[in-house]
Amino acid sequence: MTPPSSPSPVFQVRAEVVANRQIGPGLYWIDLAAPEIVEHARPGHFVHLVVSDTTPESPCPVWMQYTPLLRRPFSIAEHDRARGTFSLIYRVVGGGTHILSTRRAGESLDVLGPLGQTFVPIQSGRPVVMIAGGVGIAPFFFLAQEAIQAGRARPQDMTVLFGAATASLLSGSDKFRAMGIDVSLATDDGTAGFHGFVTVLLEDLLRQNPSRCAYLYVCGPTPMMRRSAALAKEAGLLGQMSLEGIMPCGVGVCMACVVPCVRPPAGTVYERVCVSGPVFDLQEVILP
Amino acid sequence: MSRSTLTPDPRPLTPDLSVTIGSLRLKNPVLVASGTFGYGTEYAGLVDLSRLGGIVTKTLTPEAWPGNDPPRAAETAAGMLNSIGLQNVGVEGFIRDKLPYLQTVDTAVIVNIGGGPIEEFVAVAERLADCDGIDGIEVNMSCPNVAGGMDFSTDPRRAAQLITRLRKVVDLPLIAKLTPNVTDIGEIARSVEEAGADAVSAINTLRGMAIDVKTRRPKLGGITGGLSGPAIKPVAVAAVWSIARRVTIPIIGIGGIMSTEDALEFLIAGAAAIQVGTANFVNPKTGTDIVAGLDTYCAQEGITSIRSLIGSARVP
Repeated sequence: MTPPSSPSPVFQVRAEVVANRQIGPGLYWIDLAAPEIVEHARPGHFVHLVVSDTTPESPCPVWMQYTPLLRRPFSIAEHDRARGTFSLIYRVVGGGTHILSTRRAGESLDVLGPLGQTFVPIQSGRPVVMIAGGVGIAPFFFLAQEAIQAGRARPQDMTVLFGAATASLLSGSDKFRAMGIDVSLATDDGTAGFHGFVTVLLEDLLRQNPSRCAYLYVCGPTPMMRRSAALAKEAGLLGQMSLEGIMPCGVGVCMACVVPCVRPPAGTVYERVCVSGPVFDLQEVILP
Repeated sequence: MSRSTLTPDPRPLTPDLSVTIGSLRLKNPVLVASGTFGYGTEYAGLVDLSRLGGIVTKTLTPEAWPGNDPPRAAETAAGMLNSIGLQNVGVEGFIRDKLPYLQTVDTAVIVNIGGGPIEEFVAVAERLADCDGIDGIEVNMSCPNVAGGMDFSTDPRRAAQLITRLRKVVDLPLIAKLTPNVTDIGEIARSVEEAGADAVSAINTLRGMAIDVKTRRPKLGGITGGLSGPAIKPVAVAAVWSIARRVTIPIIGIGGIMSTEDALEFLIAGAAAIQVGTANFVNPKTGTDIVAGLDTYCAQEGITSIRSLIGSARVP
C-alpha cells in the first residue's frame, strides 16, 4: 500500500550552492543545484533549507551543525531545467538568513522540497496582475516564466505591481521587463515609481483599467495582502495569495504554521501553511 | 580440511539491536516521538519507516481537536517552543484515514492518546483496543499546552488513577509519558508502575516562554509552551537516570536526541529505548541514521546485544 501522497514527490537532497550574491541592501539571490527538485517544482512551491553547514565531514557535533535549529522556508523564484538549478530571493532579517548569506559557491545545503500547494497557472485569455511587496516578488518570477515558456500565456496579458521600502529593494523588476511584462513600481520613500503603497497602484488599475485584471496573485507583508484581498473582494475578483509561516517541519506533521481559514459550513478551521498552502485562495484566509 | 575452517569468520559482527518494552518486542530501540512524525504517512516518501523500531503517533483525542491560537512555535537557543494544543484528527479519523497505511508498515505502531477528563482517555483507549495493527498505547499525561494537560503527571495519585482505569480496558503495552515539570519525576514513575503501566516515557517538553521585546508580546499564542530540542537533553538524561533508580519497568528516553551519541547516553543512563522528536523536523532521517549508528557503535565496541548497554553507566 502506498501512502497517501502529495501531488509531487518530496526530496531531501544536498544542493550545491552555485551562486549566492547580494542584489540590494541585505537582499540576496541564491542559485542551488538540485535536479530532482527542479524537475518537479511548479510555481508556488517552496523549499525548506538548513542554512548551516551539515556536511558529513563537519567536525562539529550534530546539535552544533543544526544551529539555528530549524529549517527556513523560501518560495522558489526561478528554475532552470537544463542546468538543474533553482533560485531563491531572501532578505537578511535574522540569524538564519545571515548565516545563509555567508554560504559560498561550492558549499552545499540540505534542502527539502518541492513543498506545498502551487499557484493556479496563468492561462491564455485571462489577464492577470501579480502584486508583490519586498521579497514577496520571488514566486512571481517563476509563475510568469513558466507560463511564457509553456506558451500558455502572453506577456502582454500580465501586469506586475511591485512595491518596497526603497528603490534599492526593487531588484529584479528588470527581469519581468525582459520577459515583456508591464511593471509598475511603488516605494514607501518615493525613490522609485509611485510614492506610496503598492496597493494604491492596484486600486487605480482596478478602477481605470479593469480589463487588465481577471485574476490576482498576491505575495508580501500581511497588511498589503489584507488590503489586496479586500480590493479583490470589492471588485468581485478571484485570485490567490502566498503566505509565510513559522514552520518547523514544512511537511504537515508539527501543526505549528497554521492560519485560520473560512471553511463553510464548519466555520473557521486552522489550516497548515506548509501543506494546505502556502498558496491559498484570496478570500479563504483570515489574516491577522 | 577446507580453507574456510582455517580462516576466521570474515563476516562482521551483526549486533542484536532488539529490545523489549513489556510484551512488545522492538527490532531496535529507536522510535519517533508523538507530535513530530504525524501519522507516519507524511514522512513515508523520505524515510524508510521499516528501519525504525517504531512510530508513536500524534496524540489522539475522542473528537478532532482544533488546537491553540497561533503563533504556535518559536525558535530558541538550541531548541524550540511549541504551543500546538493537540490539534489532531480524532480517534475515528485516525482509524479511518491513517491506521490502514500504518498497518502495512513493518514497524511497531504506538498510538499516543490524550484527553481532558479520565473518561476521554478511556474512550479513546477502548476504541483503539478493538483495532488490529496497534502495538502499544502511550498515554500523554503531560501536555503543557492544554488546560489541565499536566495534571495527571504532576500528582502521583492522579497519575495512578488514570493508569489504573486504562489498565482495565487495555491489554496492549501501556506507556505513561511523563512531564519533567515536577520536583521528583521518579515518584510519579513509581506511582504509574504500581498502577500497572508497562513502561514510562520521559520526558515531555519543559514549560517555557519567550517574549518579543519590541511588541512586548509573548512569542506564542498560548503565552507559554513546551521547550524541546537539544537544549533539554541533559535534563532528560537526568530524568531517565532518576527514574531508573525508582522503577523496574522499561524507560523510553526522550529529549533533544539528534545523534547516535545522544541516543547512547540515554541507553547508558537507563533507557531501554529512545524517541527522536524535534530532530525529525530538521532531518527526517535522524531516526534511521541513529539505527545505523547504533549498529556501527555496537560492532566497533564488540557489543553483541544492545540490551547490555541499558543502565550500564559507570558510576564511582
